[in-house]
Amino acid sequence: MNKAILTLAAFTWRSRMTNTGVIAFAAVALIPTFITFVAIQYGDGFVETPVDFLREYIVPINVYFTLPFITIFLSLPTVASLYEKGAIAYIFTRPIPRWTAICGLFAGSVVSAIPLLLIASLAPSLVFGILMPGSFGEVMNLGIMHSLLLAIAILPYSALCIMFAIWSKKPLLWAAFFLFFWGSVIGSLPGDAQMWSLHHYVMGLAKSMCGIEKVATGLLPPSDNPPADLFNILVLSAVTVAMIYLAQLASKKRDIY
Amino acid sequence: MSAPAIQCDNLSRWYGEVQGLAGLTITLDHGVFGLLGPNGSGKSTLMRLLTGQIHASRGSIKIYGETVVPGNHHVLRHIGYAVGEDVHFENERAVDFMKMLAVLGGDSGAAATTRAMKALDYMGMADKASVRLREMSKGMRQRVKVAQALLFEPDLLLLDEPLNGMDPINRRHTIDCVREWGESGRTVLLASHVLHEVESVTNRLIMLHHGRLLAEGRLSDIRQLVDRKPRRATIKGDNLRQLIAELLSDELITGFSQDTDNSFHLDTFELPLLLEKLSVYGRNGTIETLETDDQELELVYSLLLSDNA
Repeated sequence: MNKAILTLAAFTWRSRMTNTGVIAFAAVALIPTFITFVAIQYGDGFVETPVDFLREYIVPINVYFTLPFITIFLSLPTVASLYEKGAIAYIFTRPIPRWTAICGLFAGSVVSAIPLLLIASLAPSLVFGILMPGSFGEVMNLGIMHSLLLAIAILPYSALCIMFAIWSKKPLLWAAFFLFFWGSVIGSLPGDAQMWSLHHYVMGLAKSMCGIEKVATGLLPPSDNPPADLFNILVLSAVTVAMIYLAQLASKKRDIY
Repeated sequence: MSAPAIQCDNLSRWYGEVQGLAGLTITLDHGVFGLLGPNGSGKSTLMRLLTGQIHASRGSIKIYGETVVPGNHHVLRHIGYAVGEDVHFENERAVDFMKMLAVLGGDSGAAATTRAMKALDYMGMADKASVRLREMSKGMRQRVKVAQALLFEPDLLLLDEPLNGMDPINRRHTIDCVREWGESGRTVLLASHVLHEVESVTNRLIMLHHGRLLAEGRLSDIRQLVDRKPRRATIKGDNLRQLIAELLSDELITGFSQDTDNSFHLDTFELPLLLEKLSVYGRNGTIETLETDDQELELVYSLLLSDNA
């Protein structure tokens, strides 16, 4: 891989992971584990089967909340804070193409988010595996697929956030609107509008990878007829590439100060 | 390289209603140039335009014949740039920060480390290589900033207020480094709002005010401009009235005023001739003290500013 991309990814990783803020992110990533633990210990039969609990509660929580939260508050500041402080000048005044710099920052933000998403997806399965050992194999399989789902979903989400961070001086509002409202709400409503939400394709993958048929709250359910897996992956990949492309275009349009 | 280091043609930049730079046309070749101006005069705007960080509203910039626009990274290989703002990579150790920038410049692995250490050493920061930037004083971070600009021994060095926050010893060291750099046949543009800083590095000046070019050239050239303005000499002594009458009749002075302490302020357009004449009187003890306003670069600047106003 391009060494400039690698070095910027490594820098982003260091700056994100050596920051005390990572403790707050880890705490957020542990919320599904906490819910799982409470449900098992104090649920009084609430958890009928571990796999159904993970499918109906934990996977939707992670897709609706943990994933957008970590993307918005971890990936977005990767670039937004560099712009705010003017520190991006140190990177953009080097003789490398803008797309290289943006790919490096994007890669770093994704790599920084993945451990947190692994905590959010695997730790609840581990809790089930430890407290209800009979289901260990099944819940761990689901946990791995759940992790893979979030690892795929973080790519377009993160690319979208980075594009907003470069394109707008108020990226938080845009990212929150697109990931929480447009993503979760529009992506779950019946009708053609859901096709314009990333969430629709992520939940399509969730349905086939994690076997989700419904969500416990009944709100924002996955589509009954989601697109095929290949199509979902194509859309998510295309959005990732498109957002990086738009981000590098925006970086040439936007003044650093 | 045959093309000039910097060529700006009618360069302008507006920030909404505010004019950051207005119709700047300059050409710089080799050597050290001081970019002078008070805060808000357009120095940093020019630096940002030269490094493709912001767009020009009008006009063009060429660095060694290559057009500068945001996103044209090829031209940046000629440039070493010390950003005006503080270094904001607080969690990075100096050597990691420098290595990262060395890799972005095209080095890899051990070569990046060697280059980073060499630049830090040049700025007297090798022993602080493992210190995190947040743990450094402002002056130390300033030296790291200059060191990162020197990483690839650029043909064109742009330094935006590099001496801010430095103690006198490091200031001297940095000034020597900059001067040495300029003497090696490269081009240095040093922006500052402190006149004596620039004066200590070079006598080739570009003076900006409200985004406009106020004056350009050698300090001596700028002084010639100043000589077209009425200047003032102050003399003190006894029995000077006859001398003043002679100066008036010779048209060496255009007017005078007297202070209570027996000193006279003489206004003149012919300061060198006046000083020559006064020195003759001074030799026979008639004049106790003689002062002119010609000694300080600050004065040159303030005179030009008042003329511009």
